[in-house]
Amino acid sequence: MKSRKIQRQLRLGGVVALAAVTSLSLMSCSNGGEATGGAGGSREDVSLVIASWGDPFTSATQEYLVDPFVEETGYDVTIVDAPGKYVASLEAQNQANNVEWDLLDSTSAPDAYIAYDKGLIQKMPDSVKERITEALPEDAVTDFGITWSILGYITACNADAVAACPQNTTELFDTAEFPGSRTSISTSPLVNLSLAEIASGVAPEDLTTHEIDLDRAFAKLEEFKAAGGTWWNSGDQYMQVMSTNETDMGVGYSGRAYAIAEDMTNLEIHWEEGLYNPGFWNVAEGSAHSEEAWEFIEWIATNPEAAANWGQALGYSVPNPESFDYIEPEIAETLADYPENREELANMNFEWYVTNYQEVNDRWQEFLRG
Amino acid sequence: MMSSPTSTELLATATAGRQRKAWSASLPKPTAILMVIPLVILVLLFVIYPLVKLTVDAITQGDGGFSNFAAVFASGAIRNSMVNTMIMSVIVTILCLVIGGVLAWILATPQRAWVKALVWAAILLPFWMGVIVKTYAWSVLLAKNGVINSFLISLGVIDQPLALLYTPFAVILGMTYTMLPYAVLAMYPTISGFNRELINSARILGSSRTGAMVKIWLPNVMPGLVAAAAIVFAISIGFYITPVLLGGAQVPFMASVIGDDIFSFFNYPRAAASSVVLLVIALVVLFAALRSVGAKALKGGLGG
Repeated sequence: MKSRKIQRQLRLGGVVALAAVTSLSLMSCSNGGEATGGAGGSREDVSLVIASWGDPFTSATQEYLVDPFVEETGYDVTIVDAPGKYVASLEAQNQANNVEWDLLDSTSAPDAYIAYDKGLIQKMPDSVKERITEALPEDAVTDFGITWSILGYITACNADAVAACPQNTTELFDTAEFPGSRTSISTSPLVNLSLAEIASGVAPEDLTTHEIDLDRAFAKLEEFKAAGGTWWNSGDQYMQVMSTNETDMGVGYSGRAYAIAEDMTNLEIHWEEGLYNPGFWNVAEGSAHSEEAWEFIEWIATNPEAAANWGQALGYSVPNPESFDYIEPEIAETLADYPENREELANMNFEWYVTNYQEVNDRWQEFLRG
Repeated sequence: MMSSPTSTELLATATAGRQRKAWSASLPKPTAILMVIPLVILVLLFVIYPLVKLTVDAITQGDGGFSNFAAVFASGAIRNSMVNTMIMSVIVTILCLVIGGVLAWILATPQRAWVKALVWAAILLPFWMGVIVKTYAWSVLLAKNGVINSFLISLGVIDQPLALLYTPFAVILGMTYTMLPYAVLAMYPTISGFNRELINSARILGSSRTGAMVKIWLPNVMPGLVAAAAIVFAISIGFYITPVLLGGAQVPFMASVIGDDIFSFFNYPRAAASSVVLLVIALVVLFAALRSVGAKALKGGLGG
């Protein structure tokens, strides 16, 4: 622990030095800009690299966020695809002392919290935080970024396959009353444990500070597992498992559930006692252009229409309430931040996960594969 | 009018040719070294260096020493997936040897041209297809409302769909299908090079049909079989996408657990150690194969 702290301090020292060098070079650049009469402070020599998830994410981010931002600022922005590899890649880049990324697009919540704990992503500057908080709801702004591409973990059930469909998480875990095979995400212990705790009677509104009782939660999950079915490890696999009747009901991403429902008219989708699952925009520690990277985050936070276009294209929710003025009603009601959906969703206790993840992950792997 | 060359003229040309340096497959040493250098650099940079780095990481990262390896063997999940990986890979290897051996035998014996063309196409087409395409095709066939179940239900053989997908059976099927071309291509040179007259001779000298196959054919084609088995097994234990897509979480392979450690569970040191364990197993199998039939025979088996 201690050595990690020292490491972080060393790294921070390096970052400060780097920032000093950067600001010096920026000063000289902007001087050059003035000399040539550059208007509006546009600095075309600034280049930002965004790590994203590959298509359709990358295209949507390019079209609805990056293109209008570039038009305004004149920065050079490129997107690289690194689906699911943010933490591992940033650790490798840090080890090699060569951080290639400036921004992270839609980091998953556990990744973001752990990356921050490991000193891989930056703390949001106070001035930026102050301005963003004016535009976004309080819980959309954290120390290390803003929420983005938000989904719900919801209950979906194929009404053709079973006699009765569970209407909420408690019922989904009640394998006696609601027989049928079940599916859930295999790569997120926190999601499964949180849902199991809700099913054991923890109030959804308390979940965000609740310390999960691992023995009780895993016992509940054993019942869930004993009902048969499979565990999915990607949104594609979730869709496949549900739409091929491989399993009757289960936990899935809200966006994917609505996509399945387009072809499967008898799919019931219930938000009650679901989980609010935010992604985050972050700035990588060691970014050579962190000031401009935060500028980008501030820009997307305060441009509700751009955010709305992005969310509408992908079926993911965005944090700015004003964005819903621009989203078509039939899409809006499938999104996690749509008021009627939002109030059904509980917040997970990510801080608890960050301090306990080693034990939790080990037990989860034993549960799943042991 | 063209006159055909007389025999004296031909002889003269031939002698002239003999006076020049005879053609040889071997190159002068400096040229050979020069031509091999780019390959050596590539291999050093992209194969040897990452593997060395991986091994060093496995020993130095986390708590260091052998603690990461201890963590690998302490985890029931990893032990389970390791056993699973080995058993399934052995089954796939045996299936590939048997089915691939039959296919190679068919290709090596005189057949009608269209039969040969068909068998070659059946072997090579999946070889050229992407592994994800193949795997998805299987998942469509094996799904609960997939082609196989619908067919069996319409025939009245079953009335409830069978659970085919997300089972060890599906993984073995998908992997065998993927590895079969490797097995056939590795065995074909020795099997087609086998002189059939030897079996006839054995029969004439009083051997039974089975005896001739076991005592004459088998030892002759053994290098090809060992080469095929070693290749299929070494590739099989590294499978990732097929077990994930066809087996789901219930049929874990080492590679899926390593992937989880890296991408979901932030345990890079243990992932590195697991990878080294897997690498060592693959190398041991390959070296054992080399030792058992000799490098030269194995090279022959690979068509080299």
